[in-house]
Amino acid sequence: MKPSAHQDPTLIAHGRAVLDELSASCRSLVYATLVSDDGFEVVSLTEDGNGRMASMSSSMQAIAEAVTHELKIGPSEYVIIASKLGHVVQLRIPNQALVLSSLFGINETLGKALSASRQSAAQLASLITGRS
Amino acid sequence: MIVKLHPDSLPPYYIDFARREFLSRASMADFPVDPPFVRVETEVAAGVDDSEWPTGRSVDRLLWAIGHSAFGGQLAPWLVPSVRYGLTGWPNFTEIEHTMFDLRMTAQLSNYPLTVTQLIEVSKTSPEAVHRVVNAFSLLGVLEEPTRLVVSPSVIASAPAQSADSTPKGGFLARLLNRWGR
Amino acid sequence: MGAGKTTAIQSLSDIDVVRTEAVNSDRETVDKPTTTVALDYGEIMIGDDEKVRLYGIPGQKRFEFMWQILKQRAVGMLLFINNDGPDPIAEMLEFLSYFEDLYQRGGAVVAVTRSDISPTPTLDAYYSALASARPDMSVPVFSVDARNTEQLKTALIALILNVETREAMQTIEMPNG
Repeated sequence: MKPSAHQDPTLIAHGRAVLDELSASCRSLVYATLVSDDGFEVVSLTEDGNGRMASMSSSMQAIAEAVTHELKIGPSEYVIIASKLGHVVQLRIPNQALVLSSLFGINETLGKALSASRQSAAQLASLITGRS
Repeated sequence: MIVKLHPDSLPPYYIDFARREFLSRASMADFPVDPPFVRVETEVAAGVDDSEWPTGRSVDRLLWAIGHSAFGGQLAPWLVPSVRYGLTGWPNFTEIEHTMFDLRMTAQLSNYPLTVTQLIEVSKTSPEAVHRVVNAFSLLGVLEEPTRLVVSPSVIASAPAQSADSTPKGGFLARLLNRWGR
Repeated sequence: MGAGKTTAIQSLSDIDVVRTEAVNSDRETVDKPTTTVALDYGEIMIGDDEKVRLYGIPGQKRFEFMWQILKQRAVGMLLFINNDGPDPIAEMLEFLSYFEDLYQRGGAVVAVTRSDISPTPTLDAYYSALASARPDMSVPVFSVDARNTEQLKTALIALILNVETREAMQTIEMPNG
């Protein structure tokens, strides 16, 4: 039986490789996590202080998708939370029940943060589908 | 042990208290109000083949109906009007036929124990209506004499009326009930 | 988890329920294909300008932040407990303790589901546990089929009545005497 995402060693390895590369390419990256749709952490770059980011990310993704569904504006492409000290960029891994959520420092432009996140998501999707 | 109740001119009711179920070919709608006599047998009822009948219904439904119907609107003889009573729990109203008055009296006694006399005053309705519901609470085994919270008589006198009819006057709950046609 | 909250809101709601379901990867805990990961939202329309908002939040501990958000905003709680779970009574007591502020401010009703599949614990057992662990709380406990609209309405009416009764009578509290 196929293991759950957060218990799949191959997926965890792929996720870690992608997050490491994201961190290397974006020095402004503070935190990044790959989570399952139902709120389990697959892999993270650093420790999430209170362990809630995985479930919060899945909830945010679900609400965003509910909003776009309600408004009939097509699937949600990404979620951005802008704050004084940083930006959270969140998006679904294409065709997977997985979400990548990343926190970038305030010095990073939103465009660069979004572009880097998209690239990482596509890279992980390729690794997953290439494997299966 | 099976208890067999045989009300006049109706099929018998078989009560299995261990399973808290009862069986009868009669429906609850047939249940008599103030039957002239009821024969009660407490021996294991021979010849009861419950495989022919549908799954037993909760005995609480039967006890609730008996409590409302028995004693001709008087308080059950083992209950005292001047004793404060509260409730240890709510009857399972999702499976027991009930009225809004039953719900209101339950909410009242489960939160603030009162004497039957006080409850009549708060409800501003007939003593018979209050007696019937208190008798039903007692038969269900949820009536208790609590040692906690009591209510001042001045509060009783000024409490909003909890009418016996099924359409309370005004307020959010009234509008919701109206919306639901209850 | 798996107590029937989403089903219950669908049964009660006058609008299409907003759902936030995801594939359930924790089939060992509850064997169902999806689970709520944010909230379910429904409404009961009372009039043109008045409605009851229904929020169904996940029961898993990892979604506790949703509990915190809702418990500050809600006026009452229908707590759905799966009688087929490993320890339904402990689960009830844990949630009632967590939402004690909400109980004090408004009220709570416990709706026990799947008692047709798992007849025990009985409702008497729930009340005994409440009397022992929380004698200060007055919480109705009903058996409920989450698909049965009339049963859900009864539970909701009981919740509102309980809240109104406590509000109306909270004038004076005296020690026993």
